[in-house]
Amino acid sequence: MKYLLILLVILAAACSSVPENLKKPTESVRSARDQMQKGIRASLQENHEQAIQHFQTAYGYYTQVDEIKGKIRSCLAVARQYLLVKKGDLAEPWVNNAKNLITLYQPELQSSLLLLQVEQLFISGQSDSVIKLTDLKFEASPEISGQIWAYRLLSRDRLRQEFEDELEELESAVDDMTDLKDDNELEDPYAYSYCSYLTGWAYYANTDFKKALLFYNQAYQTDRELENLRGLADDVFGIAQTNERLKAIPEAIAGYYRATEMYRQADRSAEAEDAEFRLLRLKLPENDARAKLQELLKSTSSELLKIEIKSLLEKPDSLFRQNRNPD
Amino acid sequence: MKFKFKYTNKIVGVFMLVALGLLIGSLILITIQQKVFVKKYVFKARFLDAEGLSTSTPIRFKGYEIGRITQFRLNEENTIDADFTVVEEYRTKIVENSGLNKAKNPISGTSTIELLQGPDPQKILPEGGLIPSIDIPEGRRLLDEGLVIKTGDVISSMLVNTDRLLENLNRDNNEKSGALFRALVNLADASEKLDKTMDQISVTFDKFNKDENPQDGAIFRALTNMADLTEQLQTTTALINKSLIKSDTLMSAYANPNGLVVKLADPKGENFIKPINETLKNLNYSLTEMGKLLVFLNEQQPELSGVISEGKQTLSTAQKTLEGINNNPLIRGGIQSEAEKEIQGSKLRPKHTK
Repeated sequence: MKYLLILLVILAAACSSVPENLKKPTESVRSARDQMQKGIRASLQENHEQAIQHFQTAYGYYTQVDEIKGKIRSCLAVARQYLLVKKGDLAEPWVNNAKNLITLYQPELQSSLLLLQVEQLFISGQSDSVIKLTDLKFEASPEISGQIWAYRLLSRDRLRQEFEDELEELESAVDDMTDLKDDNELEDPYAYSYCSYLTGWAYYANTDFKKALLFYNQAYQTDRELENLRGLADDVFGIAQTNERLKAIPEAIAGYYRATEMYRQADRSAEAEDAEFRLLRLKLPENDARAKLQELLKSTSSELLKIEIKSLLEKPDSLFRQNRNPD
Repeated sequence: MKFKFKYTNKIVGVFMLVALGLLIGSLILITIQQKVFVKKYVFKARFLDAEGLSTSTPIRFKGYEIGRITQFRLNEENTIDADFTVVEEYRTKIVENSGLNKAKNPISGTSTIELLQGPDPQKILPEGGLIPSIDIPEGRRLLDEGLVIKTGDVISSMLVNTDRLLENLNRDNNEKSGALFRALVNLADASEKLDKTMDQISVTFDKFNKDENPQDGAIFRALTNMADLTEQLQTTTALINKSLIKSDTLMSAYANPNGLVVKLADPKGENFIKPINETLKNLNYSLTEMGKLLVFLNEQQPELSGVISEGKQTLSTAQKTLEGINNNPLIRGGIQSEAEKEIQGSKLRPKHTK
């Protein structure tokens, strides 16, 4: 037994001598990854022009060491930013480059290309094409498949169609991502919070407010961990909206208040005005709320919101006393 | 040889006779010459002064001596009354409206009295009549009226003429005395008018020199206005000059803006300058201390280099050790590998409107 133990120690030491230096990323790859992270942060802050710069720089670094996978990812990232700033013609060469590289060298990344194509169609308003494209069976990671199902679900909503299996597929992807997160193998935590939010949004649309609140809170927790202010504001707004539906008015008021602050901090004035409007609507018939609604009516540039405020101010206070939700 | 006067009496007698004969002859000649035995007529004369007069001063006419001054005296009018005699031969030359011209030759110093005969030779002046000298008013009137014509020697005449010329020059309104004096009178009148004109010009220039005289006409009003304008222009120019100086200062400040911001932001230096000064002092102290520290560190550099080198070696060894542990098949699975984050998708979030 004693000799066996000694033999095992020698064997372990021998195995440990195998160098893994070859697996270390090169300096260019590290720089490329750094640029990719910077691009992602800029994109999350909706600074798309800066994001394009970072992704293009990353593409340059990847090209220096002929890192095909990195080149594909950076190509897709550049193309996505151009799509978000409505410059489809500039996105096209990057998409084609990525398509060629994927076809030739990395067919396992076809799902990434599919996601980009779905986004391209959805952004350009071709909801039918989104559904047709995603009717075909595809294999993808939970992060990518969840987003593809999310866009299919949004396309259904846009086409005023009932959800079919999209919500179940989306929820399934979220569950898979939850497992990956628990195993610390989640590649895109932003996709997890996004799909969680979309699941909550879909349940809200189906008037299943309790489930909606569950997934909104899940998205909220993830966005807090990610310090994703923009996503967090949407989560809080969704939670407040759901609480309002669930007649949890104090929670809804608090939620709208927090959402208003977050939207202002994120320079999203239109969303901030919407959240404030909903907050004040819930606080009516307080005189303070009516005065602030008057101020909001003067300051807002949204014609739709002006109509809603005027309509609200014309209603008698007694209506708000009887029913805190006039809708 | 011995000289002897053999005929002494005879020689003396001859000399005496010759001398006596000469004496008598001389006396005769003198008597004849002095016309002692000729009848003489006495006339009166009047001169301005007694210069050159004596009791034997001859009176001449056309170069001939026709008489002599016998006596003269100063009268109450401060002129000289004199008596002179004229021999009978020339009695008829003394006519009315005659004059005497007393002249003194400045070269010989002798005085001569020239009779200037009147215009009418028929009017014989009675004995004891007055003949004035032409240098007193009565005699000058004779000259002025042309009753007598002045003659005499050249120099005396020239002097007299000069004297008369000077006298006329000193007189006024004598345009009848000749072309020269008419010209002089006209010139004097002209100069007088010129003087008046100059006075007026002077007055005009005084007005030019005065200010605020708008009642004197359009020109002066215009000048007054122009003076006001120039004064205002001067004031404006001064202001512009000040502005330009300030602009120049400003431009200089901009050209060399050192301290400009300090002046603007902290003119008294209490907000920035003094605190910054204190800070700089402290910083200077800190730099001194840091310098000491750096000197110390420099001294310790060999030791630090050794430490760093050893640290590198240690880290290298530790890295190899960690790699060995990481690659150990017994514990490799226990090390959680960091997943590379790959974020894809636009993540467009919809919101419910209700």
